[in-house]
Amino acid sequence: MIKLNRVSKVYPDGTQAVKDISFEVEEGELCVLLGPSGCGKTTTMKMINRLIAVTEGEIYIDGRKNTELNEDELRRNIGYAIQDIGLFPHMTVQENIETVPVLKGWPKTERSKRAEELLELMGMPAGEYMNKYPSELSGGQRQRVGVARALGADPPLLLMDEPFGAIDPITRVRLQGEFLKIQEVLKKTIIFVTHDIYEAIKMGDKIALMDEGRLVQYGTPTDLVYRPKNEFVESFVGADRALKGLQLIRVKDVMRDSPSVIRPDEKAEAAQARMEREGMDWLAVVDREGRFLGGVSRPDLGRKKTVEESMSPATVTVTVDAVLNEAISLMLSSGLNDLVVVDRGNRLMGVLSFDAIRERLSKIAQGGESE
Amino acid sequence: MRKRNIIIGAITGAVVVLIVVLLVVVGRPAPGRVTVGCKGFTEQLIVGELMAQLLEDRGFDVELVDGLGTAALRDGIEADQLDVIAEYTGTAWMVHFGQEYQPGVDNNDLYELVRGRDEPNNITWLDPLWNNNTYAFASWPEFVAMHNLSTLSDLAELYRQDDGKIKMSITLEWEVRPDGLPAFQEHYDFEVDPDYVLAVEAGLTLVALAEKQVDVGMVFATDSNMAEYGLHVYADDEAFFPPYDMTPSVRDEVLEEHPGIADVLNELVATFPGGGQSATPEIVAECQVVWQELNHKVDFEEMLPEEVAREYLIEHGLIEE
Amino acid sequence: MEGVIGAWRFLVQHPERMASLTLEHLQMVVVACIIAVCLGVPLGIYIAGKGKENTADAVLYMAEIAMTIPSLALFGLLIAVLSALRLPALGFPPAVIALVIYAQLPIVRNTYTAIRTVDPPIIESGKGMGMSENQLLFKVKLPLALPVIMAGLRTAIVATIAIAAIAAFVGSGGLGTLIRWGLRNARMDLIIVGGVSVAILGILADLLMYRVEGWVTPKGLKRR
Repeated sequence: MIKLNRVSKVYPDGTQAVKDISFEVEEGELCVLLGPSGCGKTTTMKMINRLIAVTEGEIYIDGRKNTELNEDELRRNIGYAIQDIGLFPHMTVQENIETVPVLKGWPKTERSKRAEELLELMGMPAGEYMNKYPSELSGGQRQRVGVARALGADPPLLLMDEPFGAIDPITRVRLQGEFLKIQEVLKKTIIFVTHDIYEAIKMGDKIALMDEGRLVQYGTPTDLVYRPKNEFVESFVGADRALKGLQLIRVKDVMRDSPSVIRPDEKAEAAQARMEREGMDWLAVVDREGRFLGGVSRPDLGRKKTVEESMSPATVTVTVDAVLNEAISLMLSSGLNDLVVVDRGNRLMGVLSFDAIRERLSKIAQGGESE
Repeated sequence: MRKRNIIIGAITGAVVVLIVVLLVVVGRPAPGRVTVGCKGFTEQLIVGELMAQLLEDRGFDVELVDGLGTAALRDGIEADQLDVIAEYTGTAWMVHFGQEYQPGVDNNDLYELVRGRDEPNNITWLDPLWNNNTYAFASWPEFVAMHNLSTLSDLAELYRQDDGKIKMSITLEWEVRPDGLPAFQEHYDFEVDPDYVLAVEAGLTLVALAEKQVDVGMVFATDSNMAEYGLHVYADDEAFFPPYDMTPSVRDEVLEEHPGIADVLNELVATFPGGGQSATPEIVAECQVVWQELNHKVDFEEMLPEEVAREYLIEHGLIEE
Repeated sequence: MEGVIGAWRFLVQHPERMASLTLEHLQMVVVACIIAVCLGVPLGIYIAGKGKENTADAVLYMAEIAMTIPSLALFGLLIAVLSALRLPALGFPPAVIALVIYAQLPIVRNTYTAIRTVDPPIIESGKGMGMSENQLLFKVKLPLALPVIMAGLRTAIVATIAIAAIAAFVGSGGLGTLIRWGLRNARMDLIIVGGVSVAILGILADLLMYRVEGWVTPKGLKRR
């Protein structure tokens, strides 16, 4: 959907801000432009909507060169959200969001409806917020209105320059999560500039890591974390990249199938027999609906009559959707090497072991599997 | 970018056109209209009203521009923007024509000199009012009695005795003009100590005297203040000060277009002492008194200049009620 | 004290005269300020544009110099220039022209500053969303600049009221004529009634403009 072909930017005084960059972004993908200050990521983004003129090379949007259209026309079809937001202080929230629809001549009713929808999408009740002024909003609220404004005319493409940069860390994490959920619904093509490696890994479908105007590596977060091209990438991702990479993998991708299960009302002898037959030391106790109640191991049996009396109740579990950092964190804090995996209704889904995780990571590093 | 400049350019252009039209239309004298100009103080306001009201009564379309400064008045008639004014002979000779006044040149002589001098400028000086609103000096009666003074020569003698240390108020421009204070001291052979000179804006010379900030104050001969306060005006026995006779003047171009104007204005002048004749000291004194009384009506009897003028014209049968 | 009583008496006895002089005075001020705004605001917008810094410096410098010209000198100069151009040189025209010149500095400078100091992210987001220069000017920059421009107009009006009092000697009429008249004929009553009237006019205009400033300030910008 967006293609940069050998794009360069040289300023009149000779500074080369961007050197010969080429990459492609598919429709519906969120591509992060990542890099240290001065690497040219913002310059690159601004060349897409022609706020900065290209010195060499071409940029194609949906197959057409971005120089074909008049620049104002072009920009009205590209959402734009920046770090300092730049909400118009003399306009209400509604008027701010309606900015591009007004420029495009949308009729009033359509515009209002759109503004309401977007506010709701951002989790801000329209009735309460439509007529407020930016000065009456908190930083996080302003940021959300900024994003809503960028989405105002439902553009296929969104450019975002450190949109969460000026927000406090706690709110930022929340906004990132909310934004990802919204993106799941809207599936916009997004160019997202940041210098924060964590944000890049969390948000991006693809990452373009830049340094001093050049594109150093372009790939998925997994590519950069597990298959860094050079020392720069390695050090930018950080020495703890293995840990960073954990958030890219979910429990369900690494867990083993459910272990053998047994009901609480069964006899202890039956349990013991099962264990011997299958060569297991441990059985999961589930109820009739499959909900995990606890575990029973050989030493526990013996004196008691039923399974229920012998089992250790469920304490530590991990959800099937969780990312691996959470799993590792639980393993570390509980001291367990194996975790029971449940779904949201607490039904038993499988077992996750530390070894399985290690095995998977090394496979990825060798380039075998993607996440 | 270009569109914005065009819009700004268009607006500016429209405004400039608006201004030019405004100036031309608003200020342009209507054809056939006679513009009378006068200065901004009582005597001039009265004479301006006299001339304007009379001319209007006689069928002319008159516009009166008042409040003008001396320079503006002269510039106005030279630039054909004023048609009729009443300037003082002394002012015309010394300020407008930049000439020196030789003491001894009397009212008649100066009038002739001035009239001749303005002929090449196509400005005609009609019959003069011999009101001689010249400079003078005055003091409170107590001061005069104490030093047994009467004339300027007496005052000069007092200055010589007191080493020039008697406070005097004069007008700003008179202080520095060569035919002003320096010539005056030379003429009466005395010196006033510079620290004892208070130079102020015209009418404030009298205020200084009235407030007793000075002992000797410059005044104007036909002002009504002196009589009202009972001040003593020193006689100019050595005839230093030039005559200042107010005289209606008209542009020749206007006279050609409206020949009747000269007669009307001379008719007005004829109602004053010595109007249309040569001046004598008695005529001048009489005329000064008439003007003092007219000025008094405005400055102390709470009348407006136009009311005083109208009253005068009716009283003298120039216009009907 | 007598002067004050005299001033009151003059006002009470000749109300039509006071009214017509006040009207003349206001006419000069209003016409001059309207023209000054029509010239000054576009000029301020123009020099606030990108790349026009040198022009801006020159224009602002000239406006400052204009302020320092003594008004007496400027009026005299205008009479000479206008009569040389065979244009009306007495009365309303030279007075209004001089007042327009004096009113330029506060208006141009305030417009220029107000537009230049619009928060950069606001301008950037406006452009990034596809506003043309004109749209940016009229939808964003001007509404935000309006309060400061109004403050400049307020300054200009009050200054013009004072300077118009000096214009009397070119025959423009107005309350200044009373002051000049009073000064020449030693009439404290005229000096006071003229001077106080001009002062009151200035105060009223200032208060009125303060209100107007409040009206035109976009709601989102008002201090709370």
